[in-house]
Amino acid sequence: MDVNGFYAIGAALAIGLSTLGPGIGQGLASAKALEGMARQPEIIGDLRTNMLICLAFMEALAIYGLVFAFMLFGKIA
Amino acid sequence: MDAVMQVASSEGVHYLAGGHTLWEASAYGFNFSFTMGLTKWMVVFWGVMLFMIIAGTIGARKKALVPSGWQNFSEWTYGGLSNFFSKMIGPHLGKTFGPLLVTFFIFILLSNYSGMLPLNFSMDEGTLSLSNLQAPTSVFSVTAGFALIVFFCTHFAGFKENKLRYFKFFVSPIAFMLPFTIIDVVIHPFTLALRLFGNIHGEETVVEQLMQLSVFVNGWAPAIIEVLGMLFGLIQALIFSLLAAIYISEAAEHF
Repeated sequence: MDVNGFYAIGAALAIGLSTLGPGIGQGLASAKALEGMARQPEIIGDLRTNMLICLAFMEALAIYGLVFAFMLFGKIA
Repeated sequence: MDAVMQVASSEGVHYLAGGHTLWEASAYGFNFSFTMGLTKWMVVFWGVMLFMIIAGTIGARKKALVPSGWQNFSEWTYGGLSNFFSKMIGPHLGKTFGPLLVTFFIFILLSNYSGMLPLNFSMDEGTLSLSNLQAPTSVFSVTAGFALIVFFCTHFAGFKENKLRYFKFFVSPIAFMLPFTIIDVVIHPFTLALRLFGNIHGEETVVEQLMQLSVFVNGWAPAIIEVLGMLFGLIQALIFSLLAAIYISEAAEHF
C-alpha cells in the first residue's frame, strides 16, 4: 500500500478523534452555564465571560489535533 | 523584512521579495525553517496597522469636550473595552496593561476580518483573478509573535508588582511543583499562539475548500461559512485578550 494513504488516514484520525472529547466537554460546560444564566439572569455577563474562557481551554485540545492533521496533510506527496 | 518561522503549512510559502533561508532543521520527518522575506500576509499586516494608526489619529485629532462623529465612536470603543479589561485585572494593573489588551483585541479582530476582503489580485497567464486575502493571524509566526509579547508582559508584571518575591510564584504551594510550574510558563504562551493560529487557519482552509466545491452550488457555500467565520473571529480575538489578561493578573498577584 502507498505510504500517502497512511498519511491521509492519520490526518483524518487526528482531527476526527480529537474533536470527540472537546465536543462532549463543551456541550456539558455550555449546558450548565445556560442553566445558570436561566436561574440567575443578573449574573449573565460574568457567566458568559467565564464560559468563553472554559470553552477556549477545551477547544485547544481539538486545535492540537487540527494542527497535527495539517502537518500530516502537508506530508502527502 | 520579517522573519518567518514556518512550522505547519500544507504548501510552500511564496515570497514577494527576499526569501533567504537562514536556518533549517528537520525532526521526526517534519521540516522547520527560518526565512527572511516579504510575504503577502505581511502586506495585509501593515495594512491593518496603517488603518489603526489613521483611525486613531483622526479620532484624537480634535479633542472636543463634547465628542461627536468618529471621535465619539473611537472613545466609546476604547472606553468600553478598557473598562471591561480593568474590571477583570483590577484598576491598578488596568492602568498599565489596559491599552495593550485593548490593542490586542482590536488588532486581532481586524486581522481576522481582513481575511474576508476579496482584494488578492493575481495575474495568471494574462487573466486577472480575485480571491480572498490571507489573514495575518492564520500564520503561526504572527501569532507566536503576539504570544511572545504576552509572555514578556506577564513576567514583567510579576517582577514589577512583587520584586524578587516573584520567584516564590514558581514554588507557590510546595517546592515539589517547580517542574510543573516551569512547564506551565512555557505552555501558556504556546497554547495562546496555537489556538489563534489553528482556529483562523482552519477556517480559511474550510473556505478555500468550499470555494472549489462552489462550482456546483453557485458560490453560496463559502458565504455561509464566512458568516460563521465572523463570529469565530470575534470570539478568538476576545479569548486571546481575555487569556492574556488572566495570565498577567495571575503573575501580578501578591505572594
